[in-house]
Amino acid sequence: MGILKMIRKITCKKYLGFLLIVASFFTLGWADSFEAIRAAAGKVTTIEADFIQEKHMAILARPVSAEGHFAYKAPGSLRWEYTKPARSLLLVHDGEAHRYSRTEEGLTEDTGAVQYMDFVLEEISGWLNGRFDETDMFEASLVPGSKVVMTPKDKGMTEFIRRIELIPADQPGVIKEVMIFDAEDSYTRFSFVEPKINVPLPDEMFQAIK
Amino acid sequence: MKHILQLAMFIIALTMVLGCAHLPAIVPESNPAAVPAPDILNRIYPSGDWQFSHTIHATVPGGKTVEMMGVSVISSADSSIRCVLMTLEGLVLFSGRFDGDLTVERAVSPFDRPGFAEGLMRDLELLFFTPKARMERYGRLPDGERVVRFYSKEKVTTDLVLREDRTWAIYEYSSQSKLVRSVEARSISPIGGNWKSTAPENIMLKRPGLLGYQLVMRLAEAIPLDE
Repeated sequence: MGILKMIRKITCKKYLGFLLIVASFFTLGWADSFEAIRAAAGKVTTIEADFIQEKHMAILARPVSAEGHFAYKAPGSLRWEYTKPARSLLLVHDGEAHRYSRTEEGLTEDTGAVQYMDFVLEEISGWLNGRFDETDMFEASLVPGSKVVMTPKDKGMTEFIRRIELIPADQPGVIKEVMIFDAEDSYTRFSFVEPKINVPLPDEMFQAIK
Repeated sequence: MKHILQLAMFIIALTMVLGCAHLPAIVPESNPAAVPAPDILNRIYPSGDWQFSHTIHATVPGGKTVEMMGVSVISSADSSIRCVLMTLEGLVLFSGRFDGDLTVERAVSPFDRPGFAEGLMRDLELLFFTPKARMERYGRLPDGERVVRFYSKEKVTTDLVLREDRTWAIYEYSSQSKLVRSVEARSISPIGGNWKSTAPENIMLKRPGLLGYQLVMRLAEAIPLDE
């Protein structure tokens, strides 16, 4: 498998899945049980926030940072954009996904991303209904009032993601941090800054680079 | 038909030979003031312990491109390297270290291919460390550019080209005097406002040949670890 193909495969099939998990979790009212989560699901129709990403690894002397912005609109529109250190963009809308990477000509589309999105979108339909404990990809466990832990069911996926921890904010329906562990001494932390819930988000936001 | 094939083979061979850049002759520097002082080399090769983060736009054989992050933790004292390649989302593709011995901590396919880790560490050595030279020569290339030439005991020649605008380039030649790798450093900036330490904002590393590749690296962060 070529380098490009491999990165596309991992990035799209496995890692983009987590982006959509993060986005879909934002649409949930926070609760201490999956039943309450399911009951609260659907109350939030849109969410957008800036995010700060930090990669922590024992081999590194300092964490590595990135920044960006994301927007989500039910039932399945997502804009996940990096602004630092390099601009990169994922758009998901109406069953279609487009990934754009920086080139000398500006942002250009990476067409390899599309073929894996059907799989991810199938998963998200379950998560949007609050059925995190029924997903095919992850085993969900709830630490009431503390965090939700998602563990991959697929052994092959654990090579890339050991578990995902979602830590709630005080405000119902909002999480403040997502931590993705790819090894016990290696994780990526996403911190969300001032998320806005149920603000009108035009479809163009999920269709155009801007 | 046989003659046509022979002619075609000859043309291909000639093209390959002519297409390979070879070690240029240098004119010894007659003006002692033009000889680079050691602090200039220190400005190019980072001294002490550092962590560098780059976004990397890689063009791999076949012309396809991929974007990733590269993080290098280096120490000039012992020429050690710790390196991580990851996607922008933080997914680790490769992590390993070199301190005389090479240790691969994690590598997903195809970054686990034989020779990949060794090649990566050689690229980083070329970028960050003064060549292990048995002798140096100062002079000018045929186009007039100032050059410091290093010869290793393995008969590898490394040319460090120093330009008036503070940019620089590195050309590495094999024992057969063929160009093996090249580095072009652009947009040199001082770190912390001090020109004693600099880092190029843009680096282009090329490895020519059929299995060659090109890395366009943009500096995201340079962190001195000694402070």
